[in-house]
Amino acid sequence: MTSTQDRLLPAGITFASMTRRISDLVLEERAPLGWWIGVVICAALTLLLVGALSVLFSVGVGIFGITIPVAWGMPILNTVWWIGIAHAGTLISAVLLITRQPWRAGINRFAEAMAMFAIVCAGIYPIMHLGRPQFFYYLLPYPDTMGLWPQWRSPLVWDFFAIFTYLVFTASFLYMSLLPDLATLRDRARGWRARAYGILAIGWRGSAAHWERYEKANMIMAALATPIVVTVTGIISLDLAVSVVPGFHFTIFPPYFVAGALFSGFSTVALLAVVLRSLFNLEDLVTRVHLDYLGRMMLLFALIVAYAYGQEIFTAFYTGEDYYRTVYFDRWTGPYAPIWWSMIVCNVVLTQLLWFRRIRRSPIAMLCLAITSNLGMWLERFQIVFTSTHADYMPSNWDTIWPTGWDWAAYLGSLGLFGLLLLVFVKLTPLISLHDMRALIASRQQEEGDS
Amino acid sequence: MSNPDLYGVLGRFEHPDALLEAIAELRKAGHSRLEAFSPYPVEGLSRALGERSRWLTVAALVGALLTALATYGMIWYSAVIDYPYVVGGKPLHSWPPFLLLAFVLAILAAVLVALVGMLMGNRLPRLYHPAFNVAAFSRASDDGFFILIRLERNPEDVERLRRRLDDLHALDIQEVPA
Repeated sequence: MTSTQDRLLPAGITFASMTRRISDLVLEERAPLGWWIGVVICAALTLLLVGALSVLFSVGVGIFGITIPVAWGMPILNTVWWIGIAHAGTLISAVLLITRQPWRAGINRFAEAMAMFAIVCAGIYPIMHLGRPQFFYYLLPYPDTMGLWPQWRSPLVWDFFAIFTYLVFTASFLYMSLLPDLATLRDRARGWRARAYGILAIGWRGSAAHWERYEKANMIMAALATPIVVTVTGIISLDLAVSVVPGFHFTIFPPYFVAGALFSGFSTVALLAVVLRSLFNLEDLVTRVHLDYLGRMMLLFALIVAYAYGQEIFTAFYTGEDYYRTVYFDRWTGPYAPIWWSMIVCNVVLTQLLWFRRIRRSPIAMLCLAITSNLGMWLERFQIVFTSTHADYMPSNWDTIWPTGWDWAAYLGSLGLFGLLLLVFVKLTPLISLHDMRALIASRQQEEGDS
Repeated sequence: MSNPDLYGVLGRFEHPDALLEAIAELRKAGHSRLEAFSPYPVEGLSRALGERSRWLTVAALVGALLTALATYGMIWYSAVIDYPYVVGGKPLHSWPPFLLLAFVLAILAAVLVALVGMLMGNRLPRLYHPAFNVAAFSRASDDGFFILIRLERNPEDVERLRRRLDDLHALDIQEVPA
């Protein structure tokens, strides 16, 4: 165990040196050039999102490629994709906390932040897709003058509550994790910044009683994280699975979606780990060992996803139903076939490289695989949403729909928003959780003392 | 005579084990008005101080169960009594989706109870605390492990407390103004 931790931490690290180094990134040092370039690009893309939303809300959803029979199109596909990315942030933080994994400390902060901002991006799309976004509150049970109640049997109502719960959970968990670190920044900053961090830290002093309740609350939240993750993506998959559309109506959907979500989420954590460690020179705190572990998680969930693909194909043919088989022949040879085959290359073929330790430990290889995996998961969501509905029971209904320029503008814009929020966040708060890191350093000192 | 505007005496330790030992010594000597501060959760610290609290987990569980019941009750009332409307041939009392919503909102309640309970139990937000008056206390969020002996209401010999902390090898021993 000691040897693992030694590789997770640089030699000679102390509480004081670690605190100074990480908090100076926020308080003292100028942002690196790469950060500024990233912010400019992401801000421009965010403006694109604002523009696309303005046009959307003034013209209507007709500007998107969501014409019947493909009524859901890119907005729903992007919701599912973003929520999936959020999931690994939650799981990394919570499950690794419960199982007391030492490799959590280096990466949990930006994993949690990633979860938070991914949910923000995911939450935009259902509102966009509503057509009349000003009426979204119809989903709430409120005493309205028409005497109406929400349709509780509709997965879209479940969605609303699940995503809202997930948003509240993620924000609470992120703030809990930040609280002691905000106190550190308060104690080290001067002038107005000390006051600002002081207000955010709400008087945290790290007393024994504070920590006692803090740890208890943290464990409660961590224990809730797994049911939340499974429920949120499970419910989103039910949007599709409870319908009778041939490509949607599979009982395997909830676990299949959860595995896919975790696969893309771990890929995104790996992507952020590689980018942030090189941007802020944190190669000794976010180490190749961390990348190795992330790579193993990606491989695990890629294999589960591959199994789900196989299982779905088996089910389609085993039912003996013409419509199910037709969907599959259409996926393999129809107008969207390139999407299906690219998905297989990204998610099933390329991920096999993760069996090799050298690949998992190479930042550049992990960066490439993280990008292809996220692309693969996006394509997977694409083929589920588009191929299933574009040709269902009635040939007279069949049509081939492609996303429009506005779809792409909104998608690129949400990528920009995510990047912008994340870059600003890592410059305003410690990029590595200081108190978790101190606990890791302390446990190493303990072991050195014992041996 | 001690200064009536004095909150207590503060001492710093370099190592969590020294902090734990000092607390054990002080409690053996009969000091009960102790506070300890550390930059990360030190195992056994609150037990050494005798201030374990267990109600938070129970509160979260109770909050979750009550919310689940209330949610299910509301949905049942709206779908069966107040707004009976058959959709897709499903029964009015379609319990599987109702359970799903009760579960989701129970989690929401547990999360909020955990967060708010933690803050309220810790009396936060509270921007002022006497310990913040001591400059050296800023190390409590970095690498310092602190003990604070609060003064009793009746006048107390501050010099004696300082000497006691010194005997325990505390550093930066200082009086904390209230």
